[in-house]
Amino acid sequence: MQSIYALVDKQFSTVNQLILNELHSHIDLVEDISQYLITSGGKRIRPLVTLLVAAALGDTDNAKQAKLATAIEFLHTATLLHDDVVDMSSLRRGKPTANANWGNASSVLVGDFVYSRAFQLMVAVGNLSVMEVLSDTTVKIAEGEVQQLSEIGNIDLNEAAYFEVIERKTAQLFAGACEAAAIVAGATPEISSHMRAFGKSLGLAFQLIDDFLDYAGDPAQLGKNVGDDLAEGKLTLPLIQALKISAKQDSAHHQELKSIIINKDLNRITSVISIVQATGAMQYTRDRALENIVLANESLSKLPASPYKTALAELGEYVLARAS
Amino acid sequence: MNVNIQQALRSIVLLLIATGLTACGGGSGGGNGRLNNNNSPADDAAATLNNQQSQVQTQANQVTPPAPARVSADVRLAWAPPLERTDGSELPFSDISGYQISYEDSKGRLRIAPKDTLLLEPAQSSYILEDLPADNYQINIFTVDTNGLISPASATITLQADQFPTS
Repeated sequence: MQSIYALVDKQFSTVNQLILNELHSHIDLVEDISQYLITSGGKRIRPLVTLLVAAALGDTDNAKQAKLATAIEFLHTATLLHDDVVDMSSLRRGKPTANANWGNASSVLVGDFVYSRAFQLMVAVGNLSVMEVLSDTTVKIAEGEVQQLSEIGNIDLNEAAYFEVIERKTAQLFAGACEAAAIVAGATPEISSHMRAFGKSLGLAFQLIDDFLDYAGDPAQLGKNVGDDLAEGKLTLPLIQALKISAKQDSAHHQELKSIIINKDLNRITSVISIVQATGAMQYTRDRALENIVLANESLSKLPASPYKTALAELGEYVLARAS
Repeated sequence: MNVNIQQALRSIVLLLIATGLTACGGGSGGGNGRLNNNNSPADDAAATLNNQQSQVQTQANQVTPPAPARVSADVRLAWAPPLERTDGSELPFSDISGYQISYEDSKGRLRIAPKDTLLLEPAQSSYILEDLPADNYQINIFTVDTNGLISPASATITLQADQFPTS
C-alpha cells in the first residue's frame, strides 16, 4: 500500500493538511471531536482513490483534487459518526467511538458539521456537475442507511436486497468519488461513466470483504468486534447465504441460525461462524468480492496505461487481501 | 482439467475452460475450499527435514536426501472462449469484452492478471503467468462481456508446488 500512497504523496499531503484546517472550529466540542476523529486513524482509501483516478486521467490541478478528495473523506466521516450512533457502536478502529466518549447528541451534531464542511469544499471545487454527482451520492447513502435500518432483524432479507443496501450505503460514495474525479480531470462523459462503474464495483467489493471479516477477522486487526453485524441484527451476505444453504441442506442448522439471529445471541457467535463456514458462505462472499474486482478492472481497462492505473488495480488486490 | 508440465521450458501449461455469463452477484461460486488451512507440501517437506536432522545425530546411515528445492516457473494458461451464456442463449464472440485470470496462493492471497492492460483481448486464448514462485495455487478465469456482465469463475485449476521444476 505504501507504494500506492507514494504515487500521490504530494496531493495526499495537501489533503491531510486540508482535513486539519477544515475541521477546525471555534466551538470547543466540535474541535475536540474533530481532533479525535483525525487522530483515530483510518486509511483514507476514498480520497486515495479520488486522487489516483484524477491523476490517471492526467489532471494536474492538485489544489482542486485535494478539495474534492477532502470533501469525499468528510462525507465518509460524517456517515461514520451518524452510523455509530444508529448502531450504538462503542468501538471503531480499535478506539472508543465518538458517541461512546461524548454521547449521541454531540456525535450527530458534529456529524452534521462535517457534512456541511464537505459541501463547502464541493462548492470550492467550482464545478456544478461535481456538485450534482456528490449531492445525488449523499441522498443515496442516506437512503441506504435508512433501508438498512428498516431491514434490521429481517431474517428473510435476500441477496438482491442486500446488494441494494451495500450499493447505496458504501459503493455509491466510491462511485461518486471516481466520477467526480473524472469530471474534475475533464474526462469525457464516457470515461466518467467508466470511472463511476469502477468505483461502484470497488466499493461493493470493499463492503463484501468488510462483511466477510465480521465473521472471520481478527478483532485486533479489524478494530471492532467480530460478530458486530449479528449483534446489530444486520443480515449480511455470509449469513444470508448460510441461511439459504442450510434451509436446503440442514434444517437443524437453519433453525439454530434463525434462533440466534432473532435473539441476537452473541454468546453463540462461534456456532454461527462454524455454520457460516460449513455452508461455504464465507467463500461465496469472497467470490462475489472477487467478481466485483474483476468488473472494476474491466472498467479501469478503458484508461490509458499509467502507474496510477496500475495502482488502482493493485488497490483492488489490496481489498481482497484483507480477507486472506 | 488438464495439467501439463514442460520442464525443459521451465513452464507449466494449464487448460482452463471459460464459462458463460451471468449478472454479477448471482451464478455459481467457483473454487470452493480455497481457504486451505492444511499444511502445504512445502511445510511437510520442512517437517520431514527436521526429523531427518535429528536422525543424523543417532543413525547417520539412514539419512535420506532432503526434498529438492522448487523454483519459480512461467505458467502458461490456455482456454477456449465461451459460446453461450448461463441461460443457454448464444454468446456471440463480438459480445465478449475480454478475460481476467485470478490466482490464489497457499496463504490465500488473491492476485489478478494481466497487470498491464487489466483485460485480455477477446481473441486471446492463452496467457503466461511469468516467474510464478513455487507454491500451491488455485487458478480461475473470468469472462466479461461488453455490457459489463461477468461469468461465474471457471472450474478451478489447482497447481501444486511439487509441479514446479527443481533448481
